Amino acid sequence: MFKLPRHETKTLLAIHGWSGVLLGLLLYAVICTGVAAVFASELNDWASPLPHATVSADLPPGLDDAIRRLANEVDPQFHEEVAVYRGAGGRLNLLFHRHENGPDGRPTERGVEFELDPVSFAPLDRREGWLEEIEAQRASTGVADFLVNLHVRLHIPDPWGLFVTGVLGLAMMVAAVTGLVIHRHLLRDLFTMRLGRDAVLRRRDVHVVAGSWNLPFAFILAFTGSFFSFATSVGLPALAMVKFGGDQQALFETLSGAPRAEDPRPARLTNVDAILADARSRSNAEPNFLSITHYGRADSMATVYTELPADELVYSSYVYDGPTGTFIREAPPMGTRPSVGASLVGLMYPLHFGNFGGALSKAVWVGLGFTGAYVTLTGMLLWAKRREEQPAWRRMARFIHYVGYGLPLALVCAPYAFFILRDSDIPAATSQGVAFLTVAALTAVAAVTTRDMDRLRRRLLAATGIALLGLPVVRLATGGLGWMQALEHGIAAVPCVDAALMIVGVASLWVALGRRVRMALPTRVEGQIKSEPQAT
Amino acid sequence: MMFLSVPAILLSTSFIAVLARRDPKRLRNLASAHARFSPSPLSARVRRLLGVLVPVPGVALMLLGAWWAFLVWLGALCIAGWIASRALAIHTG
Amino acid sequence: MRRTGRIIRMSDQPAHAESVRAEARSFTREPNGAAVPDLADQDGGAFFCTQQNAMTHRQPKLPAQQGGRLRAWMRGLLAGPLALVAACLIMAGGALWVPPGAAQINNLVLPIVLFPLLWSALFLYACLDRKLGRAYAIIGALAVVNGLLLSLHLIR
Repeated sequence: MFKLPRHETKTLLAIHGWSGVLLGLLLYAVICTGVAAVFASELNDWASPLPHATVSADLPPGLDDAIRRLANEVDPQFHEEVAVYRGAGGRLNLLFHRHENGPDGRPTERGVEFELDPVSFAPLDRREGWLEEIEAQRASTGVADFLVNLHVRLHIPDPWGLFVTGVLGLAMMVAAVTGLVIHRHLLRDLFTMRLGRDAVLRRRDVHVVAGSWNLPFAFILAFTGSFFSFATSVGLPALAMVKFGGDQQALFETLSGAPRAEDPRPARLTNVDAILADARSRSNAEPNFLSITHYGRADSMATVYTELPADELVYSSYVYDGPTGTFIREAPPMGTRPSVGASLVGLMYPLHFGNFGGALSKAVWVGLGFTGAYVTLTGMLLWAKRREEQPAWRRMARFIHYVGYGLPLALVCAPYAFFILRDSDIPAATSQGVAFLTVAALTAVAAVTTRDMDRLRRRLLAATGIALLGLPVVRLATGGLGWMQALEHGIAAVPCVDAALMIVGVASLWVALGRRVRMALPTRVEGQIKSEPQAT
Repeated sequence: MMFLSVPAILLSTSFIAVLARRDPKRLRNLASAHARFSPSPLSARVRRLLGVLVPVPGVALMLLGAWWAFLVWLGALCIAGWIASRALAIHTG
Repeated sequence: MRRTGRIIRMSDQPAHAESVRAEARSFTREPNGAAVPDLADQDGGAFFCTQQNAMTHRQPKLPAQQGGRLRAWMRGLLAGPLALVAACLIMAGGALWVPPGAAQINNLVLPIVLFPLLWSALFLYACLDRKLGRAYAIIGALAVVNGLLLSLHLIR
């Protein structure tokens, strides 16, 4: 497509390849977990459904009484802000908190979080401490939280984890741009995939064709992901330093709209259910997040966020006066009036999460993520294949196989620990982390002891397929809802996720047991490199 | 919005399927491996026409202001193109 | 020896040039034997193999090679950490020179949103400009101007 001078093309290919091979394995982990994280909410509903019929609204009527009752149970210092949002299985989370700098000096929140039944508003759990401690205690969202944490920060503490994933996003963006520029026949080769005896040609084609089709979204997902990582780890602290002398709270307040003048006089909050009903009618969308600042004071404000209304890609929020319930304004994602910056920030969310059009857009985003992971893996394998005459690159190829096919297996096995140990005192993140690392270690043994890499690939794929098929069984065996019971209660996530796991499991087994790919992988035979015999 | 995006996806995907099945370069490679099963390649004119028709549903969605339907269409198109190429991959000896 | 300024420069060695070309050709054969122009056709795949061949054969280093290695490190330094520092300074400086707009937040939001693009652009530019000195000068100038703006602002 582009006719670059030969020298520049070489350099760009060098950048494309080396950025991929040096950061590709971590990037692959981020993409794989991102694929699953698209359905984080559904995964939580599947893993931790309530044992009875629930309500369709995320913030159901009756919330007003619950907020008043629980506000009396917490230290008034945590009335600084109340956040209300949907949890796993439709549970309601109410976080009474204040904004403080944490033990590490970074701005965070501290308070008390209640988990309520959305029908009876009976408390199901109570969690206290810093936000990070509260999040660690949220057992019901354990499965998705483990994946999301791996996706967002690779389980590396902030801000370093965010910084690492930000750099990975940049690497993916650079790989997408360089991939576009160095491919001279992008359109002509769009349908040319030759799966023949020549392993390099085969690997080149599968990588290039998938990469060509995935180019626009590889760029979009990398750019938006990089933005999310760098915005909080680098951007906001830097701009807070420049404009507000390092006070990040002041920056947040500026970005979220000027705060009201302080008025600490006590004042009863208006009916929250009425505010939610008003926001529902104004937006034609379902409210899914409520924030009340300065609860019980004359200067309190309520801000309602909704799902994206039909045809909208940029969300708005609805701001109300707390004591009177008077509608104040419809606010853009940032600031108090529309702006280019606010619109761009608002666009980042649907473009990255794919959550703007229900299950259809999420399914498409999962497909795009899967393609991205495939492109990353095949690119690394191609790079290693081209250098297979060197022992170091053969070891690298083995390591790529290990990570490429072992990581999905370890990810699938992690929820086993969640289900088996869900009633124990062990935090969900710990149990799943141990299971993940144990499977990763066992897989490493298999990777070292299995000489033939195609056999290793097949074994790992078969193990992944079996693990996927076993997950619904373990879920049921550890007290999970049956399909009929779930359908009677209107909980579609349980049968849908079970069915999806089984379909992907069967597909993995089918690929693992299917026609053997002619790998022509080199093996060391009496000091010489020799291709493996062609399999049938 | 699904009533807009799904027909758009189906329309563009059908064009892509024809383009993929009768792609000259693919068929040139296929000819050596499975000559008997090769359909005739599309002429350059027809290919250009189909190439222009593929994005038309997406442009229509944009003109209608159905932005999220457009995004879903674009994403689905990218996946469909890859699947078509993979499904029609040439298994040479 | 301008070409030695690239990230990897071993392909300048004539001893490996032919093997490189042969390898590139082998990547691009159609099943029917016809040569197909593609990625590897541009010596891309061979580019690194040349370096590896050189590493494998452990030939004595020529002075030009040693100078070239230094240039490669200098380019890597510019494209990696220095481009990142420059991008950070431009982002932070952007808070001072980007118009805030009617909502008074564009100067705070746009630099953060555009930071990934900024870093990527500087990275690619640092890798591609054949004149390494010019690349240092341009990226350095961008960093220094924004750094000065920030310093003046913070001092005031």
